[in-house]
Amino acid sequence: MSKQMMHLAIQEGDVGEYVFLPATPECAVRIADSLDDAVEVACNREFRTFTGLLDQTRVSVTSSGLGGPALGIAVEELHECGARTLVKVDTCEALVPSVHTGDLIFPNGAVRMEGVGRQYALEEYPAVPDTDVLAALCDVGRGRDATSHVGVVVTKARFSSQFLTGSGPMERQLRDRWDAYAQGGALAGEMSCATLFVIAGSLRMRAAAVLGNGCEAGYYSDDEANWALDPLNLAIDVAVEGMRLLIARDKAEAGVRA
Amino acid sequence: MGKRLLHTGVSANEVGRYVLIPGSVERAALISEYFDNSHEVAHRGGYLTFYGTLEGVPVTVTSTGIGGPAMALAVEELSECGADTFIRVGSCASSSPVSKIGDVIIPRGAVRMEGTGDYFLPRDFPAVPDYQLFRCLEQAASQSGFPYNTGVTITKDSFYTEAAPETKPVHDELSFRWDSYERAGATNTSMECAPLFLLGSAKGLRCASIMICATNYRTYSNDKQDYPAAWERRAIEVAIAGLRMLIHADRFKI
Repeated sequence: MSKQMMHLAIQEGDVGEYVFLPATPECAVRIADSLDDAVEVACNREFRTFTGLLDQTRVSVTSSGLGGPALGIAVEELHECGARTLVKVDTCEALVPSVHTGDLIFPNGAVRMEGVGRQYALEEYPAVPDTDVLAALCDVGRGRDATSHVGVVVTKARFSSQFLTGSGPMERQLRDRWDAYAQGGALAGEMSCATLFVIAGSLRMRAAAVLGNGCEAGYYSDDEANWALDPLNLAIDVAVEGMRLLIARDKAEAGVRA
Repeated sequence: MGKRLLHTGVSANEVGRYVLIPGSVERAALISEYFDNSHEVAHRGGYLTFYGTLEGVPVTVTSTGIGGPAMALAVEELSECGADTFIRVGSCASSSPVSKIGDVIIPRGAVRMEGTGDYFLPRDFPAVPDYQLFRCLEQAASQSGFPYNTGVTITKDSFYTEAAPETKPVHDELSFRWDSYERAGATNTSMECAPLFLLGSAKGLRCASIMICATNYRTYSNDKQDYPAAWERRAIEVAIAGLRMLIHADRFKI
């Protein structure tokens, strides 16, 4: 029997090459519902893993927890168990007025406002997704009844840094940075993409993300009552169909090569 | 008549919305052959500009010279004349077995090993191309049949950082950084992509890059005879095809 991973509690053979990465175990359950014959293979801490089939291909879903440090552990352990293609499914918070509640965001780059990625690559290295995974997600997103945006997102390691109004020791400096990101066209804040892209690149894995935007720029509320619309519904749907399209394209390309 | 810009010598009525920006004057002349009604409109220093049409729409090609400072100056002047879409057409060198001589390279991101980008956006902001323009170029590359990839490029300010780091006082650090970029996944190296992408993000311009890979991994020779001049047209032809797609998409607001 092969070893069991310390945090995810999975073993080699437990997961497919294709893996969805939501943040929460609750969202992992929702994605698992879209797979055929899904079975729970492990549940430890915030990491819950299911494996099933998507068009006869083994696909897994693992909740990665919140933020880069937990995500980094999940990606490393999934890689060790054979995962090679990752699709992040998550929410985000709009930074500019052109992005509205319920819109879909497909990051083609992420501001590295976080710490984990720097333990993999120097700060001048760009956090960018895999081209083919991103293209598959975008191509599905375009056909949905929602506005899609492709652009840069800001990966924040402190959730509230995007919404600060006070006078804490770092707040003026943080506001200046967020202003610069917004002027540079960054669309939204979120908490995992830069970390995911940098780690996946260094492990030679493919990764991309689909994010559902949960609020208007400048109108963030931490009152649950103000989040009537679940931005994950559409993001999950696009992630699943995008994965299906990616698998089909991968098979077609393998067929051409063979 | 509007003003004539100081460095490039162009004025607004000689600049289209769409601009191809090679590094060298020779390549600018070569690219202008693909335009309809092409004619030279200005030539100052390393900046040679031709104006013409593609799909009936005004287009421009301007050589930018080598490196971020010269390139950024040209792009800022051209954008002042109304241009908002820039495709860099150039060459690059391999930094991975993935990138081979003759490959068409359309970088999806750039390492910021350079100084000009810092004038536009903070260090942690990613240098990435405009996605719509990138997809047009990628689609054109796919249809061309030429081998291509979309690997991360290392934008270096010093050309001989890559070829001869040992000649520099800071060579230990240069070698360490270079090695770390390769380990992180960078597949090629060039000299203008990162500042172009950052300038584009900062000023709301659509920018992307397409290059011909001039070397195999770890075979740089510094001998001009080894440069695959005949393949240069691959990058140019794909750039022109991709630009036609974008013009079409803009016309029909796709």
